[in-house]
Amino acid sequence: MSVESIHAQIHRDQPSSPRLDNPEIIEQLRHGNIYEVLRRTINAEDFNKFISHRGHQFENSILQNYQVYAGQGDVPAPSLDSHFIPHSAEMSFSSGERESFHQDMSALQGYEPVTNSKGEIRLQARAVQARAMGISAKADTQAQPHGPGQDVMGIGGQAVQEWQDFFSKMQLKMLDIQMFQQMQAKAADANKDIQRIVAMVMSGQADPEFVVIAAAKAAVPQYGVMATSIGKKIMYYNEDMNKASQALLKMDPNDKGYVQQLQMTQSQSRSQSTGMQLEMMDLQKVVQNIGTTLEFASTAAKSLSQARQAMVQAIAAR
Amino acid sequence: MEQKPEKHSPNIIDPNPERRKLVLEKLYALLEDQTSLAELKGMRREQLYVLAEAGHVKLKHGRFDEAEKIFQALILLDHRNSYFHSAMGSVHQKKKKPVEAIYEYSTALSINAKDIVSFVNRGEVYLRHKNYRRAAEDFRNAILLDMEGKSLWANRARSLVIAIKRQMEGERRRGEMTKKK
Repeated sequence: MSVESIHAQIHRDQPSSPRLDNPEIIEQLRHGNIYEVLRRTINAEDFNKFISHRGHQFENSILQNYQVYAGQGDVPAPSLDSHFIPHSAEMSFSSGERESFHQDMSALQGYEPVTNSKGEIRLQARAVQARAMGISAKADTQAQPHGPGQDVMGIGGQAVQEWQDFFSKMQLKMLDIQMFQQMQAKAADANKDIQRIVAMVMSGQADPEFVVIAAAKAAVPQYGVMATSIGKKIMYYNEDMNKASQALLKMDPNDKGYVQQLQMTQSQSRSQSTGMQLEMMDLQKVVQNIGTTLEFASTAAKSLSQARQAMVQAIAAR
Repeated sequence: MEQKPEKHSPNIIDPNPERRKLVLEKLYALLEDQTSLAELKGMRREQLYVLAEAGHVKLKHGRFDEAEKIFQALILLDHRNSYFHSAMGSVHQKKKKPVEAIYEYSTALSINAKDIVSFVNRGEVYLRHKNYRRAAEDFRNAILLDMEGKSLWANRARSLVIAIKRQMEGERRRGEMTKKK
C-alpha cells in the first residue's frame, strides 16, 4: 500500500505585492528617507495587497476558518455543468409514440388507458379485476378495449360472427337441398323400378304383389333420405350447442362480457333444443311412415295372395 | 349542478411498422443503458438539477427520508447519473446502512471512475468496518485524482489515511505488548 504520493498542502495564499517584497526597496527603507522612498515606490494599493496577503497567511496557517475537509458521508451540491450531461432530443418519445407505448404496455399489464379531454393519459384499472376484487367499479361502462389494432380486431370479430350466423343458416338450407336432391334421385330410380315391375305384371311375367312391394321399395328409401337428413340436422344442432358451450368455457367467468355471453348461449341452446325436439318429432313421423308403408305393403301382399288363393281354390272347387 | 360526461377523444393509432420499430429501438437503448427514462420522457436536465438540489438540501439538513425519496426518483429517472448514486450512497451511509451505501457508491464509480466523493465515502465505510485494505485503496485513488489538494473529499481521504496508519500502528503495538506480557 503506497500513500507516499499524498500532498496535503493547500494553496489558498494570494501573491503579495512584488514591490514590497523587493529586497532593494526593503534596503532603501532601512537606510534612506522612508517618506521619499514610500512616495516614489509604494502606493496605498500596495499596502492593501500586502495586508490582505498577510491576512490570508494568518487565516491559512493559524485560524483556518474555512472548510478544509469534507464531512463524513457528505456529497457536494449538484452542478448543472459537471453532474448533468445534456439530453439528446432524438431519444425522447414524441406524444404519439408515448401514447402508443403506453397503450401497449397497459394492454400487457392488464390495464386500460383512458384519454381524457385534455389529452392526458391515465390508467384505469380493468373493470374485471375490480369486480373480481369485489369493488364496485364505476368505470364498467367505460371499460372498452383500446389499443393499436383493437378497432381492426373488432371489425374482424364482427365479420367472423356474421359468417358463423350465415353459415349456420346456410347449413340447414344445404341439408334441405341435399335431402331434396337425394329424394328426387331415389324417386326417379323407384319410378323406373315400378314402371318395369308394372310392365312385367301387365305382361304376366310377375305376380301383382311385386307392384306393391316395388311401391313400398320406392317409398321407404325416400323416408330413409328424410330420416338421414333429420339425423344430420340433429347432429348440426348438437354441434352448434357444443360450440357455444365451449366458447363459454373459454371465457373467464370474471370477464365483463361473460354474463352477456352466458345469456346469449342459454337463449341459443333453448331455441336449438326446441328445433331438435321438432326434428325428433319429424324423425318419429318418418319412422312411423316407414312402418306404415311396410305394414301396408305386407298387408296388401297378403291380401293379394289371399285373393289369388281364394280365386285358385274357387276355380279348383268347380 | 350536473356534471357533464367526460368526452373521450378518439384514439387514432397509426399502425405504421416503422414507427413501432423506432419506439422499440428507443426501448432497447434504455435496456442497454444508452438512454434514461428522463431522456425518453423528454425531461430537461434543468428539471433534474432542481430536484437534485432539493434532495441535496434535505440531505444536508438531516432530512434523510425525504432525501432518499427524491434521489430514488432521480435514480429511476436517470440511472446513468453518477451523482444521484453517490448522493443515494450518502443517504444510506448516514442512515447506517453500509451495504446499500457501498452498493450505491460502487454503482456511481462504475459510471464515473473519477468520482472522488464516492471513492472517499466508500473508503470510509470500509474503514468503519475495519476493512483497511479496501479503504486504503479507495483513499489512494481519491488522492491520486486530486494531487493539488483542492478537493475537500481528497483532503478527507488524506486525513483518514493518517487515521488508518495510526490505527494500524496502535494495533501493532498492542499486539507486541501482549506478546511481551
